[in-house]
Amino acid sequence: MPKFSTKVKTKKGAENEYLPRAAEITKIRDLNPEVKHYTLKFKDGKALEYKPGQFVQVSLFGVGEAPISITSTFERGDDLEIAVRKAGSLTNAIHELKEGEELFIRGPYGNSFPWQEYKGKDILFVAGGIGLLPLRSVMNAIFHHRKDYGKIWVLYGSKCPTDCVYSDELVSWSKIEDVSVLQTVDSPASGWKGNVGVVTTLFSKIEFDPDKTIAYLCGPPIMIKFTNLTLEEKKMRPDDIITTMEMHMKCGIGKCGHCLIGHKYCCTDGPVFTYAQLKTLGAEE
Amino acid sequence: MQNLKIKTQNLIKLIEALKKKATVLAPQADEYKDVYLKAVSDPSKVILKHFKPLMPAVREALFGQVENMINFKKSKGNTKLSTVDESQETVLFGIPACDVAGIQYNDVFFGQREFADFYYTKAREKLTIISLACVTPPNDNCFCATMGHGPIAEEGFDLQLTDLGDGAFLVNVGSKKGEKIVADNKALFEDATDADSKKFEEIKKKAEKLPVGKNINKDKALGNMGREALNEKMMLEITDRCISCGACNYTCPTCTCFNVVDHQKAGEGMRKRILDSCILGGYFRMAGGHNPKGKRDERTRNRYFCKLEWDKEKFGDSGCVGCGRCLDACPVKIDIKEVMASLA
Repeated sequence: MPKFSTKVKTKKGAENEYLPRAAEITKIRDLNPEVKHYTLKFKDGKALEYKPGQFVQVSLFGVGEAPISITSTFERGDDLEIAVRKAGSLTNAIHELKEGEELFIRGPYGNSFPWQEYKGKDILFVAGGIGLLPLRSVMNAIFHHRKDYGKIWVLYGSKCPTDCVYSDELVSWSKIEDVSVLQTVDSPASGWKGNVGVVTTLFSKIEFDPDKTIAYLCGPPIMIKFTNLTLEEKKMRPDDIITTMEMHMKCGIGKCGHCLIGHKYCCTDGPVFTYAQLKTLGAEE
Repeated sequence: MQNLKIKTQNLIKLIEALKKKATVLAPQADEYKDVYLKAVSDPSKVILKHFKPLMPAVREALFGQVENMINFKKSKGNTKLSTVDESQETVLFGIPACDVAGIQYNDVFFGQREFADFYYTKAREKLTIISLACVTPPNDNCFCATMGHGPIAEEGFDLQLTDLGDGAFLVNVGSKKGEKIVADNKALFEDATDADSKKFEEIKKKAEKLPVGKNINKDKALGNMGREALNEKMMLEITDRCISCGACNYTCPTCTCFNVVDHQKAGEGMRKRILDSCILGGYFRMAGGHNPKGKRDERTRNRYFCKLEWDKEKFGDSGCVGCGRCLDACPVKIDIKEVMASLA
């Protein structure tokens, strides 16, 4: 009997999992002054197969590497798309890149949003700020199979109207049959006619059945905390509340140790967790 | 396989033979009489007495303080990448049982699980382990017997030597690699007599009874590591004293965390990984400034839970192998044995 052992089977794959592939930036669009959206095509011609909620490790050699959520949906044939907020040295350098230039990508990593098993359910998306970026992958997967699901709500809060990302898509989603898109901002600019307040203030405007609704959340920690509490008050089961977490990561493959949430690795055990799981990890806030 | 024996002068000849095919890292003294593992050039200078290297053996041969990963060259908008493979045939000679256990842990952590680590796996394939059992504890901080990882190893080595005290070492063969070394150097080894084996058993019995560490009930201590049962006061006392220097992480044979950095000069450079420490304030901090474990007590808690509880859950045993290096290195003398004693 060996002293140390694991039941986890080793994946056969790339010889050196740390070695990324070159991808060309085919399109850049500005989502807000801080966030850019990149469409990528691998230079070796091989596409990447990924699931909603997974992430990739994005490199700019000489600057560094970081985990970035995939915002596109393989299910409907999208090219690989990521959205990057200017936050540190790497993301600032990525913002300097132009169409035609290259980024290095490895992955996809992490688990994914469960969604196919929720056919027939009502779906509630709650996003805050750039929390909409990773949620978009599962939103478009579900919209792509619209008739398989019940009612759908999208609650989206941002700091101010100019902070809002995917404004055009929020409009087109609201035109899908039986999809309600509700928006709110913390501080309105002149001309803003919508709701003002944090995202939980939108809950007074909708009515959902906690027994047949699945909630997907993503946003800043404070938003997640209060949304979880509100959903629990409305009698939703913690197993039906699904969120995706962000942590500092260096490897994406469960080795570097930086992304521990309790004893789980955000990169290989997550990034998608249910509220019930986060409670057992002591990381519900 | 029957136990073998090797005389001291033959052991030096064995090192000479191994040196022809591999870098042999063995304990040797420098000009200041400090002893550490370094590449052998003169086998007669190797110290054939059990000892605990300052840094764990796994760092010297498998998972280094700094490792080159990917070489990159930029030209005309294209970046060319190549994997760096610096692995080479290496023999770790004269390492203690706690280090053998440390390598076993790393074998599972890096070599198995969902993704195998390329750099570790390559280096591990080329590594031979010839350990030297501790017949007395190298220092007062040792407690491998308490943790069940020594002082004489049961497995994990290719060959294990135990000083019989009469100018010869008893040899345990632990693997096919070990068998091959014996077969290739037949003339240097002899069969151990019944008297030798008896002597070995006596040495082993005595060594295990030596007062290595406090009298801690490991199973009870680990069983009490649960969130609610954890002695909050003890944890706070540790936090109060901890100065977040990270020495405990850097000297631990089962600490595996690393940071990745790019070094670049004129469009050419290297992606490297560097040993990291979860005790340091910036370890969990994300771009943009949010730090989920910004407080020191959150990080000391992370370290103790990682070692004593989560590793047990994930890999079947606590990650602490009882080498005592964290205490050897700690400037404020935080003692993991005291933490465990407070739980048991």
